[in-house]
Amino acid sequence: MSMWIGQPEDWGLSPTKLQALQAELDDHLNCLQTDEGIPAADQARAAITKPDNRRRLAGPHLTDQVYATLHRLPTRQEWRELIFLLACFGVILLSDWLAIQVNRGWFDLSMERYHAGSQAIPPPVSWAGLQVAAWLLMAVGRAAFFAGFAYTLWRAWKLGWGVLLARILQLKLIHTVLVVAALLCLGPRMYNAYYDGYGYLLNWPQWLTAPVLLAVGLAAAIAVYLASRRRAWAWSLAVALTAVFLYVGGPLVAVQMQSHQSISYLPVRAADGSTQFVPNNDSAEILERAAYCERWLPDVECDVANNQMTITYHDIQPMAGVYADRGRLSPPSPEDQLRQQRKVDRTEMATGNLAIAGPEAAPGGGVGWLSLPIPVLGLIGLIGLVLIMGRRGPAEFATYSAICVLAIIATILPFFAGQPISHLMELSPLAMLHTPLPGFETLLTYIALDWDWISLVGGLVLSAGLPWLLAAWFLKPTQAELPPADLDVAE
Amino acid sequence: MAHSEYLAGVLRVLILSELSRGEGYGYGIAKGIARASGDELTVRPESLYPVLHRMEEEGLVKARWKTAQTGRPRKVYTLTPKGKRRWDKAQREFKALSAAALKVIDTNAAESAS
Repeated sequence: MSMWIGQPEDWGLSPTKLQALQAELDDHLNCLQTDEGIPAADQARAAITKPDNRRRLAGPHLTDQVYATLHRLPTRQEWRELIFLLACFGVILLSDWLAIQVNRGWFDLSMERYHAGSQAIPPPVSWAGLQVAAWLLMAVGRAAFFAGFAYTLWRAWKLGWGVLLARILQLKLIHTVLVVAALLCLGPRMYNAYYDGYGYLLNWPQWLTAPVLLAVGLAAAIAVYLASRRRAWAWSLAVALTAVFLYVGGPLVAVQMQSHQSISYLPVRAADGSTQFVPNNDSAEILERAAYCERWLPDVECDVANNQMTITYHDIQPMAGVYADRGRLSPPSPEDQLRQQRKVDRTEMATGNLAIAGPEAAPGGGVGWLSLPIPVLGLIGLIGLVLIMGRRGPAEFATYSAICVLAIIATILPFFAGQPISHLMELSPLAMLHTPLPGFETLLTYIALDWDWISLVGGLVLSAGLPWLLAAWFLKPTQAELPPADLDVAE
Repeated sequence: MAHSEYLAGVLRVLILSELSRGEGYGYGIAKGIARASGDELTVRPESLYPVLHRMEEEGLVKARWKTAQTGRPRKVYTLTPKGKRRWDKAQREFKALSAAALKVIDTNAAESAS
């Protein structure tokens, strides 16, 4: 079909509707040419094919746009966008897998040390390298995915609201299937994948910390946006998001500390009523406690002869807001440890060199973020579908509303099931590190353990397919548009 | 060009007005509006057809294809009973609105001149 007006995909319309529109516009331009000459007709023709006017002309044919977009093969551009999103999906899954490997590795090592009764067993691989790779890939993958996603939806919106709604329904189905596949792949590996120890990056440049990365990233995003005169907004969005995701789990300057304290001590009541601790010189007691400390504390050196031991804190948490929020998952901050130690046993603490705390990638944080568009797209797509179908009459509106309410419940239930009301959305910096939907993290962690979760996931997939079925069965354009062969003569 | 800003809101009323005289087609409606306004109002295709098609969707007008004298297919529109009722109501309301708006403009212009 060769038409000056363009291809149906350029308008988001079905071929029939576009042919009818062209026939009507042809008649208009022909009359204009007769009345005002060829230049006037050419000028009007050029104006009609401008993207903004194309969008206005296609605007009233919302139903046709939804139906046509859902029932045609993707264009080359749409294939490219889909492949890009799939590539980002792959990167995110890889980063999750790496994060799981690192965290399970630490967990297994701690268990091995426990059973061997020795903290001296070294890790079999360099976890720091894997941790950095997971952190980088997770940030880049998440940012590229969401920027690509926004670009895809923006391009659909440029064609018309009907195309946007159809793309939302399409992407929701594709996205749900992929996230559920990731859930089933990663879920069984997630158990025991949360380990709270994080090492230092001893060779990392001390200036290259999370705030610096954030500042450089945001400056680059603004520069790209301005230099391209807003045209490369998707790239600048990707750079800005990368900077933000790198920041939340990024390397931070932390204090590496050594604690010098007596191996054995005794509490003594002072004259003012307070309790003080004094060294206990009972050699049997010193030996017994030294053995206990060497078994259970990492990086401890005991000087039994002088009743002194030195503990180096390698696995402490860095001091930053996002990590402080991890209180329920992690040990106290170095300052807290320092305070407690002094209070309890009069330990002499020495502050060592500044060190860079390793970056963090939460296991499941990648796919956790990918789950976010599912309930959002589900709500928008299903409500939009009700509004379009409901325009046909009250009975249709009631029917589609009832079906779509069920689909919406099936869509959001897996994200909220088993969560206290106060914990449906995570709004702290933890959300950036893990996922804004704690329910999904629960699902991810326990899916391998309980079949009830599987049924929730089944409902999720069904609810994503439902709009397709509704649209395919009931949303056919009602008006046959092409001019019939035997026409009356117009006056 | 300044007309387009004001025309967007009243185009639906002007189309109802044109079709109240009998059936019409896209170019004919645009030409009729231009002629009746003494060529003060120009309606471009990208403004006309979205409104016309929305009115068709809402059941205010119905369309059918005919053959023009040039031999080309032509989509002609007529007012439906619903469209006629809307036109009766719209012309009363629009006249009252226009008169009120003119009164405001004239009063303010007179006050600022004195």
